[in-house]
Amino acid sequence: MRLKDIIEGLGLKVLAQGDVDREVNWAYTSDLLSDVMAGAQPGDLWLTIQKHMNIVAVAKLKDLTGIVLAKGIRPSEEVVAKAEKEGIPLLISEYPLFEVCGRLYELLKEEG
Amino acid sequence: MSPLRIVEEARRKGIHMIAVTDHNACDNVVYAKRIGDRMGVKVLPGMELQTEEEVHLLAYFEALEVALSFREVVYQYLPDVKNNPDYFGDQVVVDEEENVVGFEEKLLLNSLSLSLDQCVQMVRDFGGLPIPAHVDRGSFGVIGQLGFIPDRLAFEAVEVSRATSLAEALKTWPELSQYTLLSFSDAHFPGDIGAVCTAFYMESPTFDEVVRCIRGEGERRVRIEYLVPLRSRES
Repeated sequence: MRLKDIIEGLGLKVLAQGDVDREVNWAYTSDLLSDVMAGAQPGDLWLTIQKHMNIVAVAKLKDLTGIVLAKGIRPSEEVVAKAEKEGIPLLISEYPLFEVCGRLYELLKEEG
Repeated sequence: MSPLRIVEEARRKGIHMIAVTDHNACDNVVYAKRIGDRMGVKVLPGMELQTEEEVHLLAYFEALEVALSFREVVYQYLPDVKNNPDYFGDQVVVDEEENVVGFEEKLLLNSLSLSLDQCVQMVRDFGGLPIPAHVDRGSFGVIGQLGFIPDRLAFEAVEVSRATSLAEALKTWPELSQYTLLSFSDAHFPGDIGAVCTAFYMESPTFDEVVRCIRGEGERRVRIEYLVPLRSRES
């Protein structure tokens, strides 16, 4: 499923653009960046409540398709600018993390 | 672990300088410092901040008054959640004669509503020294929480816990070689005081000299000393 279909399906707000046509393989959820570095796979979409600047670097390093911040959490303008510059899609969901995960799981499963 | 007990233990072990860095708090330093002045143990005022990313950041200050005013500012960013002593125990302030002179009502183990970057900036604005604590630890260490140490924070020193030798830490995280490495006991019980020490080769036991040792100015340097060798501690 392409990222733009997920953005539409989950009603995500786009803070920073990137390659929204990219195929999302699967997703990874964690707020510990060391854990994301160890566990996320290239092509994963990352769901988190972590909004520190380092999220952009970690997403870039792991070649993730984007970052979804749950619970309506807004990062600083600096983080948005960095994501924009690095071409990492930065998205916001108003739902709590558990619910975003559930909804995305349904979407990705339907896709088969 | 009263201020008196801490300072006595440090003196007994021949430690000349200690820092008292309570979690998001600073009140006990007032008494530790008075006792230290009397017993000839230099007490550096400080705090251990827990940032919103759940990173532990040590903050040291030259003067007690500065540390206390820093604490006042930081306290506003501590969530208004009451401590439940049944779960977490009482958060007490203890004076030189071991009297309980105060209770902290807000739950201190919470995270501040301040980012790591904001905390570092605030510590520096107060003329303090920010040092990320136990960077080798999976929880509450900056590497565990944030994946790596942001270069832009320009730390001069980082602290490695006594669970990891410096050689092991450098092998796991080679990027640590750009920092002056310190190791402190992080003692939560009197017996742990001095389990690991950092020796500062300095002209006098002052905050300023600590900073100059970290920078390696002149002949100044630091060296980690284990009162209890790493290996034997495991058995």
